[in-house]
Amino acid sequence: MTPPPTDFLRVQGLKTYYPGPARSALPWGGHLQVKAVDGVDFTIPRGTTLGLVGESGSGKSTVGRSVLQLVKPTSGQVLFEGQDLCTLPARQLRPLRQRMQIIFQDPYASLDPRQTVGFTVGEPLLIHKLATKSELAARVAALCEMVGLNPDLTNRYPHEFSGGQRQRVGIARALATSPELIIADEPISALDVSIQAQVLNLLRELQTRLHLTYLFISHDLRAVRYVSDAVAVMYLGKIVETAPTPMIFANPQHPYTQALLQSVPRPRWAGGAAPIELKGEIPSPLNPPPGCAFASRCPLVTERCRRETPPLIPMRAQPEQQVACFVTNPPD
Amino acid sequence: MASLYNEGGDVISPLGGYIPVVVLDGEDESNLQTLSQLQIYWRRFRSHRLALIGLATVVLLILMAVFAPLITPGVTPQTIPSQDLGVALGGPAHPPTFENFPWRLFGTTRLLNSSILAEITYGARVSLLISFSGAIISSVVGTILGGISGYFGGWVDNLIMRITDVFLTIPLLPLLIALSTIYDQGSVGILILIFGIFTWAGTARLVRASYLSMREQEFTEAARAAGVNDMRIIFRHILPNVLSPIIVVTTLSVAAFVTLESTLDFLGLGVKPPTVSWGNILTDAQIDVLVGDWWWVLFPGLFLVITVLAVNFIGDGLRDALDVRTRID
Repeated sequence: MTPPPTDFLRVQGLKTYYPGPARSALPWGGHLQVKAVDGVDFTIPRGTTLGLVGESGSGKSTVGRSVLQLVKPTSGQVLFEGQDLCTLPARQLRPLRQRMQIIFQDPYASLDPRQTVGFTVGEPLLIHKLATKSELAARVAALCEMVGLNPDLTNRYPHEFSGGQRQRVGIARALATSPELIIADEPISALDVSIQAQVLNLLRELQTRLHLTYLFISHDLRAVRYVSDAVAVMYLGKIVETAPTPMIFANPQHPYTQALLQSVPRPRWAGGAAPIELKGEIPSPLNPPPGCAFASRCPLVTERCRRETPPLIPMRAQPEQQVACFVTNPPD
Repeated sequence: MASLYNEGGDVISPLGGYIPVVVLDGEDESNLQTLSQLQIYWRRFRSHRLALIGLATVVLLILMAVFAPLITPGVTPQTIPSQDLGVALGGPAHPPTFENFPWRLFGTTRLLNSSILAEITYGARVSLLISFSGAIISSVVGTILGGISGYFGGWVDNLIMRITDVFLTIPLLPLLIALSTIYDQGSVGILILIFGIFTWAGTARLVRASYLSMREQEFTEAARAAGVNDMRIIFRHILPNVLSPIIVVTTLSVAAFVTLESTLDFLGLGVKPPTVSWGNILTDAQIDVLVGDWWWVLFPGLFLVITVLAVNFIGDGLRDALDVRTRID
């Protein structure tokens, strides 16, 4: 099945399992599997942003890393313009890397403390032979300018920068090779609120100017709403609901999405229903429950939810919205 | 705003007088950016007084070794100065004296009456060569193997670490004693190789541990995402971050090898006469010190101690200088 040529990035049946704790004390007993990502499908059209939301441990960061093959997926396909990255040998993957980049969550950990900022930003250009040594300084300065960093500071080390400046360095590095796809892995969650807005605006501005495609991973629903064209909600390694942004915020269907949206703090005068309080914890991905992963915390749970896993299928009324729930979107 | 400051940059206090502005770190850094990387390291190293003394000492020792013939003109450990030939044989050794400067400066040996100064200067050639080269080989091998092991993990790591375990279980001194029956005794090159080959295991373990933690850092993931290949990540990105423990271990090895080499000579397993090393001098001196020739042991021993100390100070200074996170005081 060849995907239609319009699909810029298409992820199908993506599963990424990590080796967990050993099953027994014996070395040949094997390991339990942490099912961090357990069957995820989505498509991102060129030039748009997909917001991937979910709480800690839902596997959203692993999805981002799996797309870029920083973590080898256990199974499934990552089709980048129709080419499956998962089966591509490392030698052929490396040149493709200039077309897809990642912005990391922690701007303190993601910059090499021993390299100057200029080196960090310029290295991708050298690796992919996109600039000669003599052009490099000018290119690096231009990149810094683009993300709002003073180009005079390129000889400095990361520890001399603030969190927001470092994140700009991270963005400049990601932009260096003029990529088409950028995975933004919680790019603002380590920053001050005032800086968060600046970085979000920068990301949006860059998208318009450079026609970038984003996979925007975040647990901050307001940020996701601000930057995304479509949203996918993850829970325990699976996508439970996905829809265009206005649709999902106006009319969330999955009980988990509803609870998530209502948990966003808002002023009392804004009114609205009392938030649905979720009891308990996200189940362990080591030993996920049978049936719907959300059944243990769902206010609408039925018998069927505990036995069978609901498929992610389009709503009858509005097919752009896909929901995996037996109660709110019964398959039959 | 400008009125708040005087020309010196001090803040004018509202109550009159000046509040001196204490310039914290960072003020100097603006000058640093025009300097090259090496200049920055040198500036940091320079601020470490003991390290500078250590460096000066080691440079002097090396110069002493290289220019040994100029220090005791016409006198080598093997020559017996003609004017002393009469009293030399069977005669008493000369204590340190400025007489016949400089060849009796540290006294002379019994029986052959040769200059201890000459023995030390010529012996430094062998002792320093063996300990420095051995330590460098040991660290290079340990860093490469440890780095590959820690970065790749999996079966590569397992294989390299089991080999390392084997090397760690070998006790060095008995091994050297056993090997001494096989290798060409007195060959400096072979001693260097043996020192390097049998001591990298400790460094490899240390380097591996550092690489294990660095591999999980996001900046290595970022480098991989940028398409940087594994070898460049290992040596260009991670190595500078784990350099300080490696440097410390290397300097410690130099110090240890100076001692080990003397021990081997002392046991008669190292370089053989007529090649002179500091350990050899001590071997020859072991009986005669009992009859009061204290200078025969004191001066070579002093050079050993000074060398070991100086090298350790350099290690300290380098560790601080190479850490970009430490500031100049």
